[in-house]
Amino acid sequence: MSLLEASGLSFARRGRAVLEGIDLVVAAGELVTVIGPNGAGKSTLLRVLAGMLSPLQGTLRLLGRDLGSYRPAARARLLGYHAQNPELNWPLSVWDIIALGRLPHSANLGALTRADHAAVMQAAARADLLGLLGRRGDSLSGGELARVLVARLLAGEHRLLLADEPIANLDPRYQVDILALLRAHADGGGATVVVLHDLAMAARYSDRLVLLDGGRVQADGPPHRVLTAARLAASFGVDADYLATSGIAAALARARA
Amino acid sequence: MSTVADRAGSRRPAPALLLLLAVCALLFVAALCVGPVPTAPLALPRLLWGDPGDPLSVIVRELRLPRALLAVLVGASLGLSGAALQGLLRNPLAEPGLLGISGCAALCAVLVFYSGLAGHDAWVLPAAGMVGAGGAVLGLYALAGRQASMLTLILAGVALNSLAAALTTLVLNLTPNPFAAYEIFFWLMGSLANRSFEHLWLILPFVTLGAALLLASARGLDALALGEDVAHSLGTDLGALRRRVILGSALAVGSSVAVTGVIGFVGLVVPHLVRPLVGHRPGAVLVLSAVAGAALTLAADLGTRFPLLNGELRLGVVTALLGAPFFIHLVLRSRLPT
Repeated sequence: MSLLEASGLSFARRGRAVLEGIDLVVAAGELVTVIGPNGAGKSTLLRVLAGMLSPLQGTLRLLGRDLGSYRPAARARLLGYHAQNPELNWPLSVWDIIALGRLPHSANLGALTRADHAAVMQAAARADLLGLLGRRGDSLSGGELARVLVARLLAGEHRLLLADEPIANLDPRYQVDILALLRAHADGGGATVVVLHDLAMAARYSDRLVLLDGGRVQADGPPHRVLTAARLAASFGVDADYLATSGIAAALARARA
Repeated sequence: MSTVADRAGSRRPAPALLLLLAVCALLFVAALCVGPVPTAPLALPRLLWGDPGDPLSVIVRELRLPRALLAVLVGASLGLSGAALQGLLRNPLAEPGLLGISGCAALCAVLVFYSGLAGHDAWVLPAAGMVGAGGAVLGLYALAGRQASMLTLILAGVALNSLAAALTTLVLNLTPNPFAAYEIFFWLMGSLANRSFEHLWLILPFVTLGAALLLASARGLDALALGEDVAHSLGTDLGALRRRVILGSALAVGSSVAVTGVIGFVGLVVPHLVRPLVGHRPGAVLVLSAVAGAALTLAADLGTRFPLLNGELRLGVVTALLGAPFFIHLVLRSRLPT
């Protein structure tokens, strides 16, 4: 059964179409990556899928039910969102940050239950943060903070994760760490939709790529079918060399001659 | 399981709350004892519940007790509103004055003085203050729009504050009667002196309702620590959260300003005093800020009772003298690289 089903989604900002006729189905167990040039509408798409922006047209279903019909807390339990430019407005401890992921679950004035504690500890362990739980968020390196914010996302135990560029500005090790965590979430029966700019990483970790350009889906399929030299040339304006090892045109883009 | 949180550095609010409540209780007792006619703390039970004809008993019961209770109510309102507004605007320099709520409440009270309506009925002045605070909220929505960003909201508050200040000085400027101008001028400085139980009962329902709205915002303010988009994804209704915090502040602060005049900086300072005790989670700061606000206002009001040179200090002057240097300290600290 599909976790998320979008059909004919469109969205406009100040009268200008940002998304047009988007069809997207994400099933349990899948990691789907949205790729595309800057300004293609990737972040807008993710915010529409998260229910932050209401589509002008089209339908959006989560577990077969219209997304808008969910109460906010019920939606928040099913669907987790990682923002493109993560904010940390107060120097909370790592523990407190991860525990924020439990907000949709806790009913009694925000006090953590036994299950909340277990979920926070599990998320911290998975993101290899057990040694950092007492540290203040503003004392962490960029890579550590990125892991903390992904652990916050995992602590929510959502069915569907939406992550907008979770590996931007990170070195390769942290990029691998974080994508492995999101991959594991999908392998565990959840589903993940990620926005990435790194096409090689997208190809390596995704079941499917969705190429978005000009607010429309230009291609949707397994990485080797989407990342063709012709499509990269058309959407990104670059030539690409095929990598001998993977047969994917992603890794070695170069400026056009 | 609690050991996990302890090890993780998540501070528990209970001991800090008990400490602040104890400080508050001590200051409350001092507020009943200190004055031109000092009283021994051990004599308080007899003075409060004993012979009603005793002159000292009248002083403690009719003058100092309502004054101290009002200090608790007003201080808690200011501290709680400051903590909630700092959480909502995600800005450690926010306070009720910043959004123009105090300023507009003061303007309406000043208009009542100017028109001479203040003398007609004790209820006119507080009502005017709450009308002003309510008007400030409506003005904020009119200026910033329903879906305003936090920055727009702050700018709207600054604009509203400037307008209220300009109109207040205009009223002072046009006051034909120097005695009325004198009265307005002193009222603007804020004071708890000569307030009765009538004032207390007058604002209690509004402060209670406002405080309930603010305390109900704790979870939403926690979620906002990670930004508006993530807060929304965690199930927070941002519009409802904004309405709760602004309306709650207007009720609590507007009614307080109406009976005490402008008491600045308590809302700014208190959350900063509380955070080292309980951590930075905005929801955890709320209750402690209410208690610490009450304690700070009690302490500042005690400060006004010591005769200085040739007059009594005003409460708003004491809090400003304490708060303004603290504000400068915060600005300087925010300039330093973290």
